[in-house]
Order: sequence, then C-alpha cells, then structure tokens
Amino acid sequence: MCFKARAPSGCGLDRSAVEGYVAVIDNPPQTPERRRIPAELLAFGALILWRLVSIDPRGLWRDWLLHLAVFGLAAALLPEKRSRTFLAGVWMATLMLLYSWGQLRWFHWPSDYSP
Amino acid sequence: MIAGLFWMAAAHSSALLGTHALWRKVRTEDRPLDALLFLVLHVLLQSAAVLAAGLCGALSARALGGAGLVVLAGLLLAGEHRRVRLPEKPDLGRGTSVLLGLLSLRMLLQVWFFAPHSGDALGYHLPKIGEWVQSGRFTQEMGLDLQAPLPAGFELLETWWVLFLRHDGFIEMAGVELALVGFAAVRLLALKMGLEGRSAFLAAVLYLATPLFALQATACYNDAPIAALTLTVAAGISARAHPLLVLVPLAVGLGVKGTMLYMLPGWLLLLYWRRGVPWLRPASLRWTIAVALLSLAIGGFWYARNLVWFGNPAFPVTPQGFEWGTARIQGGPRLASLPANVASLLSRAIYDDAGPLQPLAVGIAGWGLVAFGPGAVALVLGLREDRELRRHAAAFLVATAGVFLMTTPDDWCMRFVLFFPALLCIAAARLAAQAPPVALLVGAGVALQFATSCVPQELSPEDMARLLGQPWAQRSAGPIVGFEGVPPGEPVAVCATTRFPEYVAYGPDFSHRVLHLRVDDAAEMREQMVRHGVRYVYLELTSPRRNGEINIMRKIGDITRLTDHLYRLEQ
Repeated sequence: MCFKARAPSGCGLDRSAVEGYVAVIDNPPQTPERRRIPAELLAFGALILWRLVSIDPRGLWRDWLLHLAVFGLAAALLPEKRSRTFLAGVWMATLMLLYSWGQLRWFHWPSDYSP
Repeated sequence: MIAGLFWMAAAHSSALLGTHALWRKVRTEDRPLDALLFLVLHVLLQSAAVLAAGLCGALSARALGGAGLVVLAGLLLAGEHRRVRLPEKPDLGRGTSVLLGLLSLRMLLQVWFFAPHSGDALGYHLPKIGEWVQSGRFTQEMGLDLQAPLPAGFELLETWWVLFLRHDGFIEMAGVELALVGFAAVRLLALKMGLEGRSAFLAAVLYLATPLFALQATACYNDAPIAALTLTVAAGISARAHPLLVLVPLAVGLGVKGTMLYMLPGWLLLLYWRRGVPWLRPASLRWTIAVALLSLAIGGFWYARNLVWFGNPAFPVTPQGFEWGTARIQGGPRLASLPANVASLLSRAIYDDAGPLQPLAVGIAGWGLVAFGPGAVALVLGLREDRELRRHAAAFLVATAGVFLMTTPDDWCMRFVLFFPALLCIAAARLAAQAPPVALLVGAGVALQFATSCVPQELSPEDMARLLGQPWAQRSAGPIVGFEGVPPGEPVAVCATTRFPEYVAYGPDFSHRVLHLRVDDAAEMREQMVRHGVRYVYLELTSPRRNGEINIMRKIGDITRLTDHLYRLEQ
C-alpha cells in the first residue's frame, strides 16, 4: 500500500473521492506472474493429495476443500480471467447445490431431536 | 412503564450525545473508521454507565436515568447538539438496500417476538442480570452454574436494555448493537482491502446475513459480539487507526469473553504488514488515552473482581482448564487441538448439516450458503489476484489457528471462529462487483440463507407458537422449559447441579425473587425453603438420587408436581 503523495504514476486506484479514503491501493487486479503458477499448482496439488488420503473415498464427492482445491488448480491453469470467472460461477453453483443437499435433512424438524 | 420509558429516553439521549462529544475528540477524519468508532464508543459508554451504577448500588431506572438527565442537560448547555451533523445518505445500491432493510426488519421482529430461550444464556449468562436488577447493584450471587463468574461485559449492555423498563423485552437489542458494530467493521475491512463503496456495503450486509451471526445477535449469546469486536480490531489495524483506538475494542472484547485474546496473533500479523503506513492520528491524543483507559477498566474489571473474590483472574478456568458436565474449557494452548478442530470444521461443521441451525451451533459452523459456495470460490480466485486480500486471508487464518489451538475440540467450538466468514463475504462481494452472474448467485444464496435462518431450529414449531402466543409483557421461554403457573411476585427456589435454565425463574419482569439452593439432599432443600418462606421450587432432576427423594416427598404429600421441573411445597 502506498500513499497518494508517494505514489508513482499508475500506482493503483485512487479512492480519495470515495468514503474519505485517502490511501491508494498498490495492488491493481492483475493476472499472476507466470513464475507464481507452479507454486499454485504445487499448493493446490498438495491440498488435493491431502484430502484424497485423509477422507473416506465415499465422502470425496462432497468434500468442500477438495472442490475448492480442484477449482484453484483449474483456475491456475486457465489463461484468461474471463474463463476463470465463468469457471468460478460453475463451481459456486455446484457448492451451493452441495450445501443445499445437506440442508434438506433439517427441512423438517427431526422427531428425535430435542433442544 | 411510563416513568421507565422517560428514564430510558433520557439515558439513551445522553448516551448518544455523550458518545458524539467523545467521538469528536478521538475521530480520525477517515469516515468509515469514524463511523465504526462512534458505534464502539456508544457501547463503551453504555457499559461504563452500567458498570459504575452496579458498583455504586445505583442500578435502577431512576438513578441511571436521572444521571443521564443531568449529563444530557450539561451537554445541551454546552451546545453539543448544535455540533451534531447527520451522516450523508450512504450509497448502497438497490439490491443491498433491500437486503439490509429486510435483515433490519427481521432483527427488530426477533427482538420483539423472541424471549431469551437458548441453553447457555438461560443457564449462566443471564441469571446474574436477574440478581443485579433485583438488588440494584452487583452481587456475589450469580446463579448456580459454575461458569457464572466468567467475564460479563456483554451482560452490562444487556442490563442497560432491561433496566429502565425492568423487563427483558428488549434485551436482544444489546446483540443488535454489536451486530451493527460488526456490520461497520466488515465494511471498513472491505474498503481497506480495496473494494468500492457499494461492494463494501454488500460485504457487510452479507456478513450480517451469516446465519449463526444473525441468530446469535438476538439470542443473548456473546460469540457474535466477540466476532464483531475482533473484526473491529482487525479493521482498525487495517485502516491504521492509532493503537490506542485499536485497544478500545480489544479491551471491551476481553471483558466480554477471554476468547478475544485467541485471535490476536492474526491481527499482529496484519499489524506487521501495515507497519510502513503511518497511523491515523485521533483529534486529541489526551482524550484517546482517557478512552483507552476507560475501555481497559471495563474489560479488566471482571478479571480483577475474580482475582479478589476467587484468587484467580480467570476463574473458574485454571491452568489445567475447566470441566463441568459437557462444558470443557482448555487452560492454555494445546497442539493436538489444532488439527482436531481443523478436521472437525472441514469434515463436518462447514456443511451445517450435522445439526439444526441454532445459536449454540452444535456440530455446525453456521457460516451459511454464501460463505460455503460463492464466498469460498471467490476467495480462492481473489487470492491469485489481490495482494491485500492475500495478506488479510493469511491474518484471518492465523487468527483462526490461534482459536483452534486454544479451544477444546467439541461440538460447539466453531462459534468461536464466527469472525472468519467475514473474509468470505468480502471475497464474494468483490467478485460480485466484477461479474454480474456471480452477483445473481450471491443474491440467490443470501435469499435462501435468509429464509432458513429466521427462526432458531432449536425451537420446535410448537415451542415457537407458545412463545409468540404469549402477550408481550409475559413473554418468556418458561413454558418451554417447564416453568409456568407461578403467581406473580411469588419467590422461587432453584436447585440444580448441572446447567439448567434458571434465568426463567426470575420472570420477564424480574418479579420473582430467586433463592439459589446449594443443598445436599431434598430434606435440606425443604428446610431452606421453609426458612426463607419459599413455596415453589424449580428443579433439575438429572440426578437419580434427587429424583428419588422428590418422588418420596410427592408420595407423602410434602410436595406437588406442577410441571416436569416445577414443584410446590405443601406443608
């Protein structure tokens, strides 16, 4: 983060007009540098591996972290931001369905539950 | 009631105007930060007023309202009201405005229609308020529950809301106040992570709609207030507020619950990353020091009290921890707790399907659909693109790890990390601003979330109908937990050796004097009741021995059973 007075040209987004915010954020949305992609692949790959070895195979289809790690891996491989956002929408919808599926069991109050 | 309303209006007006006067002295000219500061100072002043009144034996509507009237007159004479400038109309966007309106309306309806009903609140948070209100001062008697001596900073605020009407009808407003603090804190955090004004508001509204946060806000629990205050600390650091200003929510939070300290490593990491940016200086450093000292006094009071009364500031928690029934509190960091809690969150709690959605969050995280789906995916995407988001996410993860290290893995510990979904809400709002289809998904998610979290599912439809069916003045969870039919003003004895909803025995208007029985057997119970002239006893009967003794008393006609837990002494 840098302040407006010290900011080089094109430092980032000037928010001084918005909400009295005087700072300028030094991180414009940008595609990650190429050298970061192997690190991302490694991190998400490790996460996937961890989930694969630590979760009962029958429960893998609904594992939240596995879904997120697979998404992260796919997003790292996609070159365009637009296609990544599209993929994000698909993944969000999938996770929302997964969550809603789990909630159905509480749609009716269970007869054996007492507070 | 009319006099109570008058004193309430006087006290609230003086608190608001007093907050304004104090706020002018410590504000920083960063408007979102100043808005948050105003809300925190308001909580601080209300808490300070109740603390002072409780210590001086002036905990009554007339005393506190009268003091408020004097302060108000002084402030008006000093012309403070002429310095009040109403905030500009915020630009929220239509969808966010509608959602905020619905959430606000729902919260107010919950305040009106709910009575305190949830286990821990009835068991050990609220009975002390009953004692304070009846005695007009702080008392050593806080109820039978062994966790009653834990810090009670949030109960100060709840006392403020019950004292003037001598009725707990508005007690949930204390949680609503802290929910507002959480809202403002998430908005500030979002702005400092680079979100535009409207997106920051969306993030804050999404957090307000987080199921567990919303339910806790009106259930007299202190985990949502802690989440709000810890997010205030994080937002203050992110905004580079002066350290003394950051100390205020931290100290107030410590007085609410010791878990506030567990998240500190994360916020220290954030502080480290912000070290190059100069602090925003408050208008007056002298006043800021005074405010910081006041917050330290309010937060530290409970620890000092416990040191004096019990010889241990953290009483009843010792270095070995605390264990009573199903309640287990860890005495310090334990490495084994971290992976166990992480596994519990990832393999079960995050899905919110291991139990009904309720304020105690048994087996669930209560983060909701938006955090689970859009929030999490948007965070993964955002981490690739945004350094500020990466740094904040790392701080949130370290804060969560701090909590998990310090917390016994059990079914209800996920409520201690209720601050985390704020990050997911910010990520979701960030992506929603960039991609309209994502905004649609977030909208659908929050609509579903809203619909499923209107009523805590620990209350069955029948229980809810019983609650709503009572007139406002008599509304109490008593009939749900076997306490009904005691004549108004009649004293009641309470006898329990495990967690028991003893707060309902006071009645919603605190009209029943409560005798807390610490007895060995039913004969001693009977003797004490006769000695104190008490005929009704509200009994916890999980002990087979006590159950047997009560049955014998019933058979010989000493006692009559009115409900499963309520008995009347006959001779």
